[in-house]
This record gives sequence, structure tokens and C-alpha cells, in this order.
Amino acid sequence: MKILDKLKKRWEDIDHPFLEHSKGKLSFKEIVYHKSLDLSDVNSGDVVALIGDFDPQSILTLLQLIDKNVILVPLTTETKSQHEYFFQSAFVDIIIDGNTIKRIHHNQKHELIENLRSQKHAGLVLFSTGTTGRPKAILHDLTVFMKRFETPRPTLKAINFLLFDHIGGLNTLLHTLFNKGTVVAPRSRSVEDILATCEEHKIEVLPTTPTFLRMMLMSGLIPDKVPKSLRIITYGTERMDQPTLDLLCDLLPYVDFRQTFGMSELGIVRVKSKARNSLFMKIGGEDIETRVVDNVLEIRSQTRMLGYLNASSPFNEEGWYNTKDIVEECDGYYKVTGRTSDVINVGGLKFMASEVERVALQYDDVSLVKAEGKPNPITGQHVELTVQLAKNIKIDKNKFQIFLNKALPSHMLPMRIKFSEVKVGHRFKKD
Amino acid sequence: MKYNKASEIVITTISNLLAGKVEVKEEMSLIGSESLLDSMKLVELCIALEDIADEYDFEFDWTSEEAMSKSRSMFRSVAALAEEFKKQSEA
Repeated sequence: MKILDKLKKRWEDIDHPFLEHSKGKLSFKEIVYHKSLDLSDVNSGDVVALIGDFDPQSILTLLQLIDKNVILVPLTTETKSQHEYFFQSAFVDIIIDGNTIKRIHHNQKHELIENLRSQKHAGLVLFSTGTTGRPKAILHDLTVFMKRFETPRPTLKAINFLLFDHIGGLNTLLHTLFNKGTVVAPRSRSVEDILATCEEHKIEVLPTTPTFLRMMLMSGLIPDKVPKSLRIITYGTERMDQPTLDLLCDLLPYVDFRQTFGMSELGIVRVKSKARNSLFMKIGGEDIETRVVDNVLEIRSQTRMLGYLNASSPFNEEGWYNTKDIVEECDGYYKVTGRTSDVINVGGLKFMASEVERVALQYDDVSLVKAEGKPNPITGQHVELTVQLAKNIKIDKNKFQIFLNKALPSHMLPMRIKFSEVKVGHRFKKD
Repeated sequence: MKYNKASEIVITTISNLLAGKVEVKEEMSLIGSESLLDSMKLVELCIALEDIADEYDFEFDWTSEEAMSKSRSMFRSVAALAEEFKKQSEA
């Protein structure tokens, strides 16, 4: 049975909307009965770039395209300047932008795409958002990816940042559609708006990043403005520090804090925090294996991507993926202590940038920090620290320096401290 | 910048780093067993000079490949570092 027919059947007697946002509500019926684009020129196996958002037309077209077994490349207007690069890297045959359907003629072939075509499987291409090098085109077998939605699972009312071009955003969309749930889009990504949206829509699950949670702590809005409906706060995509988590657990005793972990290359990874106040987590699921090599976490997943379309495979011969995350292990639980690229080496003494950041974050009125290893000809590297203070606050640099001198060994002391904004990307990750 | 000014800046900065405990002289060496500064203090000195150079509207380069290649001679003595600081202020 086609996906669209399956969903129609599941939503037959359901009246509640599946999407609520600042401008209104969207029911599944509005999607199904939205005027469809003429997709008769789109063939099975075509690579189709769909420039869209979480609106009725984009969602309907997305579902129709999956049913046509195309290789789907979901994009948003936010990345417009990179679209040409994305089209070329993903070997795009057709571009759908609004009501326009345009075919690009080319003779290029890629082995991984040809394999999908021969199996008559749908595909999904996502782009990495890595800060080094150009984005990589990540190809998944969408027919396999969709199988996870066959088993019904409970849904909680969640806020979603609705990232149309992101594996997490698509997973939430499909999970909600298949399980008859409701997702809510906040007005904006500010702490104030998100907490107001939680209150207004009686949100149960709030997915966040550590940077967002630190900003929420500094806002002074918690615990008073956090509604009682909120049961779970998840955090992921960057490293959380223990003092921030401890403070959140104290302030919000009825909220369960859960860590998430994953990367587009591996598909969706199941994670279980050891406790609400613990940074240790179990990474698993029946299709996932983990191991630690030289303190670095490696994962082997059955639902991993097929490969990159514009780079060599990151998997070793046995299928292991090096996450570049440095971890501590305890009874099968892992705690991420940093990235391999975050190791700072001062005169042969190695430590993680996060160790310096953890200490600096304990100083009153420090909101966000970023420690970096800078090269020099004397000790190889030294630490430089950028500090963002809470709004309208000034601190005595000498006192801050004395605090760091007492808390850190000399090789870990920042040689330069800059007070300025720590740049945060649109996904609340430090740039 | 004149050499005397550069020398004064370097000597004052080193003296501050050592909390005024030692009288800093031009012939003092900055690297090796006789140096008054350990490697971390030497890094601190260079970063402080970088900031001072900024105030004087020039860049004090001690981390580029080119600077690294001459670092041994640059840190030979207080005078050699002052000479390098002066030279870079004129570049």
C-alpha cells in the first residue's frame, strides 16, 4: 500500500491537527486535499530536489515523491546560496520550487544512486552542516528508513523546529504523521517565545541544545515561566556540561532531562540517559553496535547511510564509523568529553577545550564560553577564551582571571580572554 | 617606532609579568636555562606585545611560519625581541 493511502486510513477519524503554529493549525485532511502538483513527468529513480517547508503543498509533494520511489533531496530557501552546489553534488534531475517543476539534463551517474534505482528503492539525500570543508551529500535508502514507522509508537506533544532539510526534522514529521500526533512550531527560536509556546500549547517535550539551555538559565525565566505540562527536555548536538545540567535539574525537579545523540550519516540512533542528572548515556537499539578505540567512540549501524555522493566513505572495511567523539565509558554507558579536534596540546600536555569551558562557566554572570587552542612557536598551542556575559552585566577581568588561576593548572590557563558574543548558529550550536 | 621605545615596552611588559620582582636588562636571554621566563610566561609576553602593537596600529607577528623560522633569534635576548618589535612596527 502507498504511504499516502496508509496515512489517509490512519487519520480517517481523527480531528485534531497534526501541526500547530503561530498562524494557525494544519490538519492532515488539509494536506491530502491540497491541490496537487502535476508530477506526471517525475519518474521512479529520478533525483528530485524539493525546495519546501512544513506547509501543505511541500508535505503532500514529499509524500507523493516517496510513493514514486524517487531519490529525494529536501532543501529550504534558507540555503538558497548553496543550491547550485547541492544540485550538482546530488546529481539532481528535477527541481521542484513552489509550483515550478524543472528538469535538468545531465549524463552523470553515481554507483550508489544506480544501486537504489535497480532495487526500485526510494532515496534521501541530506547535506552535512560541518564547519570544515564543503557540505557532504549523505545518501540514505529511504525505503529502509520508512520501515521504522510501520510499528505504532506513542507520541507526546512536542515543539519542533521543523527543519525540512534535516534528518531529525523529517523523522519528527513522519513519526507524527504515522502515529497521529501533534507537533507545534514556535513563533521564533528565542527563549521567551519558546517558553510562551510551551505554555500556550501545553507542550510535553522540548528538544533543545546545551547552548539554548544555558541561554534559558541566563534569561531568568526558569523555573517560573516553565509550564507544568513540560515533562521532558531533550538536549543534544553539542556537549553538555555537568554544572549546567545540575542547575537545571535543581530548578526543574519534575522535568526529565534526556540526552540525544546522532548524526545524519548513521540514521536515527536510540539513546537512553543513565539518569536525569547524568551525562552518561546508552547508545543502542537492535541495529546498533558501539565500541571505543583510543578513547574515541565508533558506531556500526544497520540503518546507516549508503555513502557520500561527493566524498569517500567514512566507514572502515568492517563498517565502523569513527564519531570523532572522545568518550568515557562506565558500565556500558558513554559520556562525551569532547571532540578529537577539541584536544589542545600545550607544551605536550593535552586536555580538552571543554575542561577550560566547564570551569569558566562556573563564574557568576558568564553566559557562554568558547575555548580554543591557538598555534604558537613556543608551546605549540595556547588557550584563548571568548566569554559572553549575561545581558547588561560587566565583570572585573582581573577577578575572573584570579578565579581561573585558582581553578586551572597553568598550561590550561587562557593566555587571552576576549569579552564578546559567542556565535551561535540557527540550530543553537556554537559556530 | 624608535628602538628605545620598543625596548622600554618590552622591558616594562616583562617586568609586569614578573610582578616587578627582578630588574630586567636588555642582555637577559629569553630562552634557555638562564631565561627568567618559563615557556608559558614567554607566550604571555608575546600575546601582551600583540595587544600593545594593536594600540600602535601594527601587527606583531610571532605565530606565522615566517615568524616561527626566526623565533630562536628573536627570543635570544630582551634586546633582540625589542629590535624585532621595532622592525615590525616599521613594516
